[in-house]
Amino acid sequence: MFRKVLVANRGEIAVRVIRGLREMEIASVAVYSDADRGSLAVRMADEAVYVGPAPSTESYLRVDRILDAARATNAEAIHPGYGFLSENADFAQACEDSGITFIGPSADSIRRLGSKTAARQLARAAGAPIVPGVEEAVSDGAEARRIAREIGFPVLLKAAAGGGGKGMRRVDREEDLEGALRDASSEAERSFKNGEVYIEKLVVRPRHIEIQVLGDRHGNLIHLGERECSLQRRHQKVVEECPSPVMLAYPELRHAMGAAALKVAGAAGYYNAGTCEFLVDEDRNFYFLEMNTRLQVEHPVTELVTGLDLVRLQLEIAAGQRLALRQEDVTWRGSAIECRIYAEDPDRNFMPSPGKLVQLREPSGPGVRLDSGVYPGWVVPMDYDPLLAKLACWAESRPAAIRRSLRAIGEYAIGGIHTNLEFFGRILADSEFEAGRLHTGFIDDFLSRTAPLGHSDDLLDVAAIAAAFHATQERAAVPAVASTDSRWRAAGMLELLR
Amino acid sequence: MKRIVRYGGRELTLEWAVAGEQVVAVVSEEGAGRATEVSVRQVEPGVYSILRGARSYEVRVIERVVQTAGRAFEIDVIDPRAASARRAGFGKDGRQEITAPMPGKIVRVLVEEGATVEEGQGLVVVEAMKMQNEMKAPKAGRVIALAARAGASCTAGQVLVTLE
Repeated sequence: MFRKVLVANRGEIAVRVIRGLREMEIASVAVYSDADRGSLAVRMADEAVYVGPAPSTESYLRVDRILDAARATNAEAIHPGYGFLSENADFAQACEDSGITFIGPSADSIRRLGSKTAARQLARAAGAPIVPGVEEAVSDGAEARRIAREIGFPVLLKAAAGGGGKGMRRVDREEDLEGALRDASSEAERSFKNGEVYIEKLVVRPRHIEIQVLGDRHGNLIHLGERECSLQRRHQKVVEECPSPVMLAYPELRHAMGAAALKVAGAAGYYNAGTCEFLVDEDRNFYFLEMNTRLQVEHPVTELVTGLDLVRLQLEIAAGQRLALRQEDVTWRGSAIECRIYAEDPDRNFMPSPGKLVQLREPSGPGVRLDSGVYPGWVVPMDYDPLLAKLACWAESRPAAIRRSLRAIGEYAIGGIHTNLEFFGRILADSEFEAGRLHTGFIDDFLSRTAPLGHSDDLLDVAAIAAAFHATQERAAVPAVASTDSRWRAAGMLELLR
Repeated sequence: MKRIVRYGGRELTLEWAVAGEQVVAVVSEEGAGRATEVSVRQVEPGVYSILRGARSYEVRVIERVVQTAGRAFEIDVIDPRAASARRAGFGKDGRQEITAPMPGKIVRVLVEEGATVEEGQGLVVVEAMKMQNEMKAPKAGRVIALAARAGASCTAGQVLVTLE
C-alpha cells in the first residue's frame, strides 16, 4: 500500500479523501491555491503545497505544478477527486510517466470514454442501449437539420467534451436549431476548448439513473447498483438517492442496467471506480449516456447502502490489489438520500452566493453523514463550484430516510451566505417526491407548481424581535462596530471579561 | 426601545422593554398592535434562543438576514430618528441602473452604448462560481452608459449598464 498520497483537489472531496487516507494510515498531501490557503483540507492534511493563484487554470488544472508538488513531497500516488484533472487522460498519463500512480482508470480508458461521442460508439459496439442520434460531431446547420428531421424533434444538442450542462441546448423546433447550435458550440468552446457538438433525441420526462462500477487491474469487474440523480437544476444534480424508487418497484431493472454498465466498462478495459450514466424513460427503457471515469460527487449514498468504502477500494485497486468482493457479495440495505448544499440563493434564481460563512451549526445524530468542506469563518471563494457540503442520510426505508433528511436539514444552519438548505426542506416534504415520481424536469416543475414557504406573523414577530434586539445589543455592547470581524472579536472579549 | 423593522414590503414598529432575559414587546403594523412576551438569551454570537411561552425558537442574525425555523427573513432595523434618511434610494425617474448581483467576471457585453433595447433583452453576461448569468433589461429603453467591459471583474452592486 502507498505510504503517502497527494490529493489533487479542493473542498469537500479533498476532505473526504484525506479522511479515507487517515483511516488507512497513509500520509496525505493537500494542494491549495491562493483562495484555499485556509481551507479545511489544508488544515486537515499532513502536508500542504501551494500550486498557484485562485483561478483553477493557474492552480488545480496545472499538471506541471501538481506533479511538482507530488515529487517535492515524495507522494507515491495522486487521488484526483472529481472535476479538475480527474478525467484528463494526459494527466493520468503524465502521472504514470513520472512514476506516480494515478488513482483511477488507465489513461487509455479515460481517452476511450472521455468524448461522449466515442463513448456512445463504444457502448453500442459493446451491446449497451444508447439514445437515438449521431455519434459524430455535426459540422453545420444543414447537417444538423437533416439529422434532427431523421430522429425527430425535440432534440438535444450536447458538447462532445462536455459535462454539467455546459454546451447543452434543448431544441423543439427546426427554426431554433441553427441559433442553438451556434450557442452550444461557442459555450462548449469556452468551457472545454472544444466546440464539437452532437445531436440526439430528447427522451421526454426521463429519470437520470447511474450505475457505480468497480474493477481491479486483474480483470475483475462488478457493479454496486444505482443512484437516482433525477433531481437536477441547470443540469447540475441536487438530490441523489439509492435505491432508485423505480428499482424499489422493479428490482430486476438494477440487474439489467448493471449488466449493461459492465459491458461498457469491460469494453473500455476499465479499472478503479467509475459510473455509467443512463436515461430511463417512463416504460423503463434505459439508454447509456456516458461514463464518468472517476469517483462521483454522490458516492456517499452508495457507501451508505452497500456498507462499502469507495475511496478505500480505489486505493486498494490502485495499489494493485485484487477485488476481494464478488458480485454476489454486494447487497443493498435500507435507503440513503443526499442533498448537495450549494452557496446559492433560491430566492434570486439560485444565483451563486460567495462570501464569508459566519455561522455554522451542523446536523448529527443517527444515520446522518455530512461531507463538508467548510467551517465558521471560511470565505467561500467565487472562483470555484459553489458546493459547500453534502448531507447524506440513511434509514431502513425510503420514507424513513426522507424524514431523517428533513430532521437533519432542520438542525443545519449556515449563516453569512445564502444556501439552498431551505429549498431542500420544501423538496423533500413534497408529495410527488415522496411518491418517487421523479424525472429530470422535476425541480423546474416543482418551482412552477409551488410557492415559497409562507410564514405566520408569529414567526415574523420572533424574527423581528431578534433582529431589533441584536441591532441594539450590538450598539450598546460594542460602540463603533465596523465589520463582522470586529463583532466576533468584541463578542470574544466580552466572554473573557465575564 | 423603539425601532422600525422593514421586511419585504411591510413596515413594523417594535417597542420593547427588557427585564433580565424577559422582553415585553409591542409589534404594531398599520395602526394595529399585538403584544408579545418572550425570553431572549444570546447563546452564541449572533444566535438567540427565544422562548415564547413554552415554544422554543433558535434565531440566527447575521447583518440583515434572520434565520429561524428553516426560514430566512431579510430584515432592516432602523432607528426611527434616522428613518427619514434611510428612505431614499429609489426612483430616479426613467433611469434604470443594471448592477452586478454578485462579484464575478464579465464574460460578454451584448449591447453597445446608444443602442435601443427591448424589455427582457440580454445586456451583459456575468460569470461567478462556474455559473453564467445574463443580466436582462427590466424594461425597454436606450443604453445611455455602458460601464461593463468583457473580461473585466466586477464587484457586487457595481453599475454595469444604465438605461433610459
